[in-house]
Formats: sequence, C-alpha cells, structure tokens
Amino acid sequence: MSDFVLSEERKNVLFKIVAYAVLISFAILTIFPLVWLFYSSFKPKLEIIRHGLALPKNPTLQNYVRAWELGHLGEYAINSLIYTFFSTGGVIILSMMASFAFAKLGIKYKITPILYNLFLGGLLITLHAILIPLFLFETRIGLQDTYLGLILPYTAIGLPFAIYLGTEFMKGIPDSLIESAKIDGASYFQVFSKIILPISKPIIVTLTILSVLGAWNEFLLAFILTSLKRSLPVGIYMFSGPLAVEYGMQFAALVIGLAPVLLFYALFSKQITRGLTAGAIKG
Amino acid sequence: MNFTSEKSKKVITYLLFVAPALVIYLLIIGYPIIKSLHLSFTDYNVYTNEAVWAGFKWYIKMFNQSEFWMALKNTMVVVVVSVFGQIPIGFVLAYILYRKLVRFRGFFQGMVFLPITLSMVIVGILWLKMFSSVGAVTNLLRLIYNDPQYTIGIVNSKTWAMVPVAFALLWIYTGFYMVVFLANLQRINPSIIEAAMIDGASEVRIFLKIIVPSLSGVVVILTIFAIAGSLKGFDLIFALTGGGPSNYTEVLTLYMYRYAFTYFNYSFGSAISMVIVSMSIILIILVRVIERKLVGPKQV
Repeated sequence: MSDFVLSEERKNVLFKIVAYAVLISFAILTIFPLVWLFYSSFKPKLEIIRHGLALPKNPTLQNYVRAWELGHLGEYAINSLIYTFFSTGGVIILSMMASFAFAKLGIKYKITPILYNLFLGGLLITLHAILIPLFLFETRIGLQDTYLGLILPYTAIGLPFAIYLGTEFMKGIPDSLIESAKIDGASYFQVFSKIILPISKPIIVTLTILSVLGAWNEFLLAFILTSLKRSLPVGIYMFSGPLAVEYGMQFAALVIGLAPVLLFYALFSKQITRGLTAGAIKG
Repeated sequence: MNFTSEKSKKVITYLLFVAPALVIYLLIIGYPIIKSLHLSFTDYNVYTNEAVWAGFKWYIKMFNQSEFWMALKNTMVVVVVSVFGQIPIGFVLAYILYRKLVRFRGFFQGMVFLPITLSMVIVGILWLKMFSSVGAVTNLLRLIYNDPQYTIGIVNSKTWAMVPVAFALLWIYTGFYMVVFLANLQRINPSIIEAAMIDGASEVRIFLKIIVPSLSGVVVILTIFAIAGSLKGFDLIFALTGGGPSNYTEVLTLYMYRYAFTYFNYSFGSAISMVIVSMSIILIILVRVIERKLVGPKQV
C-alpha cells in the first residue's frame, strides 16, 4: 500500500512540474513581445540594429518625442477618445431604452419578437458586408471624415449584442417593481431612469467595457471612413509604412498605442475578462 | 382611471424607446446589407451612381479566379488553427488552472488573456517587427543557429507564409478560450466528482465521464465563435503581412478589401463580401446541426 501512496505522490509532483512549465511558458510567451517592445523603444537606432535582444545601453526618449510629433499621435488619440466616448454613450443609452421596451413595455406586442430578432440578426453580419455601401453612402452625403460619420457606425455595430444582453437581463427584473412604481404615479420614463437603469448597472458596466475596447481598437471602419480625422490605430498603421526603418520611432508609436489599453486592463482586468467573454458564458 | 390613455402612453413610450436604436440600425446595417447584395448583382458606376443588372457575372468571375481559391484556402487555415489550435490549447490551460495544480492562478489567467484586449492592428505591426530582421524572433533564432546573418525564410515561402499568422492568432485568442472553459469547468458540481472519487473512479474516468460531457455545449458555442471570428478577421493579417508575399497569406476579407478599395471595383467587392457572410451563416448552421446529431435537441 505504501508503494502505491508514494507513486501517487510522485505523480502529483510530476503533474505540478508540468503544469507550472506549461503555464510559465505561456505567460512568458505572452509578455515577452510586449516587454521586448517596451525596452527596445528606448534604444537608439544603431543599438536596435546591432543588438536586437539587448537592453538599452544609452536609453533615450527621442523615439517618443519624434514619434509623437511626426505621427500626430496626440491629435489621433484625442480623435479616438471622441469616437470611443460618444459611441459608447450611444450604445448604452439606445440599447438600454430598446431593451426596456422589448423586455418590459412590449413583451406582449406582436411586433416585439420581429424587431428583437431583426437586431439579433446583426450578430451574424460581418463588417465587410456593410463596408462598401456605408462608404459610398457616407461619401455621398458628406459624412465621411467627420466625427459623426464614425460614431454612428460604431454605435450601430454595438447595438445587436447590447440589446441582446440588455433584454435578457431586464426580463429577469420583476414586473411588480414597475407596477408598484406606476401605482405611485411614476411615468414610464421615471420607471426607466429610477428603477431599471440602477438595477441594470452590472450589464451596463459589461457593455461599457466591451464598447470602449471595441471602439478604441477598431481599425477597418476608421481606416476607410476617415482621412484627416484618423483614430489612433489608423494613425499608427499609417506611420508604420513610410517610416518602416525608423525602428525606434515605430516601437515608441506602438507603445503609445498599447499603453492606454494595458493601463485599462491593469485596473479592470476582472471586469474586462468578464465583459469580453460575456457572449460565450451564460449567466 | 382612464384605461385607454394608460395603454396608449405605453405604446407611445415603446415606440419612442425603440425608434432611435432602430433608425440607426436600419440606416447603418440594414440598408447597407441589402445594398451590398444588390451591388453584387450589378455593374456599378460610382460616378453616375448607376447600377446595371449583371446577374451572376461577379460570382462567376470570382469562382474562376485562382486568387479566390487561395484566399479561401488561407481562410480555412485560419479556421482550422482557431478550432483545432486555440480551443484545445485553451482547454488544457483551463484544466490546469481548474485542477488547482499551481499557485498564482489569477496572474497566469490575466497574462494569457491580455492580448485579446489589444488593438489587432498594433499587435499585427508588433509581430511584423518581431519577425523582421531587427526582431526578437529573428535574433533568438540567430542565437540558436549561431548565425548572425540568419533571416526568417518561411515568411517568403508559399507553403509556410501562414505560419507567423497562425502563431500570432494563437498568441492572441487562446486566452479567450481558456477563460470560457475555466468558467464552465468551475460550474461543475464538485460533489459529483467527490462522489465518483469515493466510488473509486480514476482520474481519467472522471475526466471522460463527467468533465468532457459537461463541456460539450460550450465547445459548440466556442466553435461558432472561432469560425465566425476567423471569417471576420482582417486587422491582424492586414497589418502583419498585408496578404503578401504575392497573395500567399491573403484571406477572403483582404481579398475583398483589395478589390473594393484598391481597384475600386465595388460590385466585385460586394460579391466577395456576400460570399463571406453566406459562408459564416452556413458554417454556423452546420455546427448547430452537428451539435443536434451528437448531443440531441436542446432542452430549453
């Protein structure tokens, strides 16, 4: 019997070693490119070319100064903030209103399932399927290269999933809460703002995270629909072409592009993880 | 108490609350999707805004182009890497975390999940730099091969050009699957496993009889995610390879982009986009059908 116990213990130790090895290599694999990028961004050009893996010998901030100026990154970061802020606001407000209508006001209306499924159909649509007409349409009516021209698509694209999560969540709010507020003389608008929205806070947090990350990181629409009012990812992409051999500046620009999200993740990693997997994990 | 006015108030509120979302949705998604379908069957002149009916012309052209089949093949490579790479690796990592074999589980989870939060274009440029002549991957290989002039050849080979793309894809998405698997594993009632252990069931038996069956549903959902995501994917490959060299790494979305926004052939581009959407819908239905065959109808 003691033999058995021993081998069992050995097996466990072996399992532990393998488990640590696998996880540590994955963690290193994940952070190494980012760490390498970070320290390389402080190296002068010659050091980057000659000693690709070494830490900087003569660290410099010049890469950052020049990338920031030449790449207009400050300007693009402000544009990105505008796109992100207003589209997130749009997604939250519009989806919460529609969800309230679908889940509480019109649960018995025959049109509700039709409209709801119309929105859910948007989950199947890929961005490429709307890209050309959207581009032609915005060019024709002069929306191309305006703030609104990008905020509207970002809002619309966020709606299907937000309405899905919002409606499913609000179905779980007891009707008695709404009825008693109505008896006390509250209007539907007051019910929405005083009762529904506060209860829906967890879902609003999830949707805000999804929408902020989605808009901040979005590339293709911003690339096609803007020419001067570029977002940060587009600015960094454009910067990477003509100055491809200016490695230091490139690295600095990438760090500037990644830093806000890394900071956001460091602060809210739990909520972000929950938000991004909300579509695949029920409940 | 005026019953009808209360009822009409409700209807008016309903309409006011749905209308803003509906208008934006129809304008930005509803109209363009129908317009795309329409454009794909026409010869469209952007200067006169005239679309002349052309039947299946663009679809026939597409299916006769070797570029299309190349892009389709590469898209399938992405699907395969996602379904048979990210999902199993994600599962292994999740299982290690679930069995509590290691400490610092939150740290490991946080690290492996991180890349998915980043901008795919920036990640694409980062990996491009990693594989470039000044990149960390190249320099590591130089150390390994002890050859300071070594450059990565596979990037330029027709057969191996997709390897860096596949690598970057695994780097980005594996953490997502890991987190979803972990959440589902943690939902398994521990008392069932304890009972099985008391009955003397082996680790392998518990794994096969309790853990695997409880995850079949989530595997289907994740497969749908992986397929849909693979067909949509654009930013990463656009920034990493741009579809090159030649069009060895071109996927359907890049193929569509090239025809629409480099050659300005909006009708042909629309036809390609319709093929992408149809494929994603067909594959999703297919996965659902397979699920029903294997697992039986959903009990909801």
